Amino acid sequence: MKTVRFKIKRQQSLDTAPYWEEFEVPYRPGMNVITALYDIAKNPKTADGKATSAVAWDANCLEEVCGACTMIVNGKVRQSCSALVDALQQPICLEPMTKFPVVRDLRVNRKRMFDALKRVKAWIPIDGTYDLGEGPKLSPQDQHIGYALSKCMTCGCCLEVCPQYHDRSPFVGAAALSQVRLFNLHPTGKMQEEERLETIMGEGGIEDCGNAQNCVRVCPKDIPLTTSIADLNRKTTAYALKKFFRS
Amino acid sequence: MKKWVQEHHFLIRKIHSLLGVVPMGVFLMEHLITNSFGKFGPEVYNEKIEWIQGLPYLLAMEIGIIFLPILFHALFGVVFLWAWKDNSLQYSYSRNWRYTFQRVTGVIALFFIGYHVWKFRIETALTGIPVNFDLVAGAFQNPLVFYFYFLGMVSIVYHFTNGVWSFLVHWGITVGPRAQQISTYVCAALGLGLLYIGLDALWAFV
Ligand code: SF4
Repeated sequence: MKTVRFKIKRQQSLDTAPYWEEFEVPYRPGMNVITALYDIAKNPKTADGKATSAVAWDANCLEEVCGACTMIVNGKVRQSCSALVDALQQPICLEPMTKFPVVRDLRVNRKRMFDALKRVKAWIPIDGTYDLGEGPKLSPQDQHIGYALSKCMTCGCCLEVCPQYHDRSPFVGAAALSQVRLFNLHPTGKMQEEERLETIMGEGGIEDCGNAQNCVRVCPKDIPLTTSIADLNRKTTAYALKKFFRS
Repeated sequence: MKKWVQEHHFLIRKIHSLLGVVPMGVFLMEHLITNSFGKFGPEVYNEKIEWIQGLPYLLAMEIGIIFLPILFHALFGVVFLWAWKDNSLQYSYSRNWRYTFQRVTGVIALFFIGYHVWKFRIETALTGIPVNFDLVAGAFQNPLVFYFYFLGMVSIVYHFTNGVWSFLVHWGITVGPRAQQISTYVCAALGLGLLYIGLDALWAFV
């Protein structure tokens, strides 16, 4: 029987030491990393036959739009649902992302990303005590840019590869910055433009970007992250000058 | 200190980036050209040095245009290193390597400039040894000093020209990928040009 070999970095909880285990699962044509993880869960035995606990992982949409199954596959961060076994070298090495705290095995807690979105107010406030009516129209050009930016699934690939994003640094990272561009582009969102710019001009904001530009290379949604960052550089610089000369 | 830096983060970063180009980058180019007078022999070189040493307000210019900007740029450059967690070996994209080299060359440049300023500005001022062609040529007799200058020259030219590239992004001048690609070529050409001028002048003293 043809089998596929896996090498998985396991960790029971955040404060226990990680260890490696190898697994062997039956090969099926077209299988991906997630289907293999299901096979391991069905029969949690290491490659040399020892019984072990099932490997924990996150997955949801299984079509590369939710970001939940992001992990490091053979040294590169990506979604494991679209990581086809046929295209990978064996043993396939699976590790949890390194920039977020491990919950268990391949499952991490991306809370820091959601906190960043809250910090930069990545939404458009429309709630009020009365009906605000329809908002202004969005030009087709802006729709085009906005659509590309709106595809972000908060997977964290861009942060995993960012040399400026880690536990010593308060950086909000490329994903949240790009969302600032998205919501400042929107005619209703624009009403909070200066507030968002102020936020990213503070601690952990845009100035923490080091221009390594890895983010744009790995984003599975091809979001023009470096363009977003440079655009925000322009906006924050213009805003700072305006603020200074009008003060 | 850390808290203060974070509160004034935007301003400090912008000043840090601006100083790297003006006046530091402009001074670097001026300095490299002045060095090149060494190619015309000791007499011409010494004449130019004397001309510079005879400039009015020299000390004020040195402090205001050279020492203080370098001090600010170096101090905060080192402070910013805390946010650097390198991964160029794992994700070896060329931009990532340039990010790494920018930091490595910055640190080399810091040591080099410290040595250079001490040797040819402060020590000579204290002891009264005249700064001239022979002093430089004498120092270069020691191969260690010469190779240190070689390394310092390469590092500073890289740090400056790659810094110009980053400056253009940081100030929101080159925004899209095409503009940034073209600016890569322009900065690389500037770097190679300056490197030629810088190294050619080094060899004039051996
Ligand atoms: S910007 Fe791209 S890489 Fe970053 S979180 Fe969003 S989808 Fe993932």
